[in-house]
Amino acid sequence: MKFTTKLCLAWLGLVVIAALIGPLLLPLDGPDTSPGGLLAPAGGDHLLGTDEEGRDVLQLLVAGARTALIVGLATVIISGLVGTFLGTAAGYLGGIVDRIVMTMTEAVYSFPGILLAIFLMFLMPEPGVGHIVVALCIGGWATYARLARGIAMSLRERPFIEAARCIGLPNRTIMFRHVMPQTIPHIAIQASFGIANAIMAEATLSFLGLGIADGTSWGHMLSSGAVLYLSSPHLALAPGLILALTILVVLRLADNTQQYLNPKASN
Amino acid sequence: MDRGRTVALKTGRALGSVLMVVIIVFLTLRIVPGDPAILILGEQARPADIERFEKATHLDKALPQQLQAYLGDIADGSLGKPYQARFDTPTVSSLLADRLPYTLELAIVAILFAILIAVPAGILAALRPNGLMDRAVLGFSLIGVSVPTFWLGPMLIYLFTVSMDILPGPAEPITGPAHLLLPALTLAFGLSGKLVRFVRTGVLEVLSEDYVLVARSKGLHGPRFLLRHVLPGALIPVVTLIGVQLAALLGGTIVVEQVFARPGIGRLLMDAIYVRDYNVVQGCVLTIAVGYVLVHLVVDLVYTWIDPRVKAEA
Repeated sequence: MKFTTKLCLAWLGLVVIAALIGPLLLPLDGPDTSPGGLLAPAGGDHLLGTDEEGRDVLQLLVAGARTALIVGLATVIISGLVGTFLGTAAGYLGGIVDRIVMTMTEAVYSFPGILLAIFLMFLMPEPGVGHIVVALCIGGWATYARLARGIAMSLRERPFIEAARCIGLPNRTIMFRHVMPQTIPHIAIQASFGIANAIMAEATLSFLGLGIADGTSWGHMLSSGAVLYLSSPHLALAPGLILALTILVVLRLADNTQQYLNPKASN
Repeated sequence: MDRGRTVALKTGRALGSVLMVVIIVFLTLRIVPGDPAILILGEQARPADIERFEKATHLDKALPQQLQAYLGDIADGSLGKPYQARFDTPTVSSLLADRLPYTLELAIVAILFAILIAVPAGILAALRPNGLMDRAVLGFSLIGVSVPTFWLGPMLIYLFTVSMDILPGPAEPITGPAHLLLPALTLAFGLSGKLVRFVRTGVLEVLSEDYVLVARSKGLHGPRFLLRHVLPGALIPVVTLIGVQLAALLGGTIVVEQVFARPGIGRLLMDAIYVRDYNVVQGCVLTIAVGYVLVHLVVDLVYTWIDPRVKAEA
């Protein structure tokens, strides 16, 4: 294993640990109301300082890791499963099913993805992690559906599928047992890039004030940090670096996944 | 199938899905909570004012009549009137015409910057795969796609406006091209990260083609050889990506418009959704969706034109 890959895994491990047990080790204390508790610089009582409401930046960062990972994983798992199922059905069954699924993906694709999520978030009062996942899945499943459809269509006329049909297996069995497993490597590659996209999308929504608004999101920390970066640069620096680094690491590992699962596609 | 029919068919289907998107937006806006009259006139508005507002905006009518009225507004090109009095334009379409240039110039300049960075860098990287330059370029590409625009933007403002004071910041009124520089660079950073990988892959693929081998064995080399024989083939996937990114930027500028306080379409949309200015929201969505599908359509056509190996399929 390459050294850089090890570094990436180490960082990802740190983020995962922060997301799993971080809030137990560093629970959110609530605002520091003592004199000098607001916008305290790094060092001293608060290792990374406090924000404009007196909350500990390090504690918020740890809580933000949980938000980012939950959104990233949940979005990819839900939209991946739904998309793979609909795409396989469309590609294998063809006809009216194909037409309906393709029209739905076209509607999703006739609008930039992040704007669709922004629009959906406006419709949800007091949004939480679940709402963000729903908004991202509504726009996210279509990519997986198109990918799975293409693979299912190319498999339809292959001998082993025809053989399955000849011995009288029902369509349901053929789809789930013989077609869908073939899509898994391609879907897995797409999904590993999808995690990075979902984390970035959550941060963007929260930055715009449409997602998590209680500070436990790296994007939301940046939105308050951006206003105050002149007087308190520590507020914008830490969440931005951590967000960028996490996305970079996920993308890098996704690249590795692609090389491993589908060496032909990567040069 | 002949070309004209294919184009007509694709355009028709694309416009059909745009209409579907607009109708879905029309209906969802009216289902979700939030009353435009209260949000725009304020909590203390008198009942008589609210009544007049709803009469003027057709909001007192039933849903089917509202939709009918709006489809009429689409048909005559006005897209209805903005609900908010602070817009002094008579129709939503003239409001959009005021704001669209801010978004378009930002998107186009950002793409140009990205091309200027990505094409030379991608070629240099591909000439020596796994060499020092290649690694540096791939590293830059990964950083480019990982750094969020809403973090890079404020950092650039801090660096160039606050510390060095050589470029105008978002607080000053927009006057000249200098205002475009920072927002465009912010967008171009991530874009060039995406583009450079496509350029690199494209050049690498072409370099392994037989005709390049023949050209090389005939003694061709140097920049002329690269420009005449390698680049045209290598840039085909790049053209597609540029088109797709330009389309995505129509909406993707929203964050940068927010950070740099630029009055573009994305910002207009955000503000309009907050006060439930239905006509402006629908107008923005319509503009973005039409632009989006049109760019994709053009990319499709250009693609079959520059690469004769691909046949147009319906």
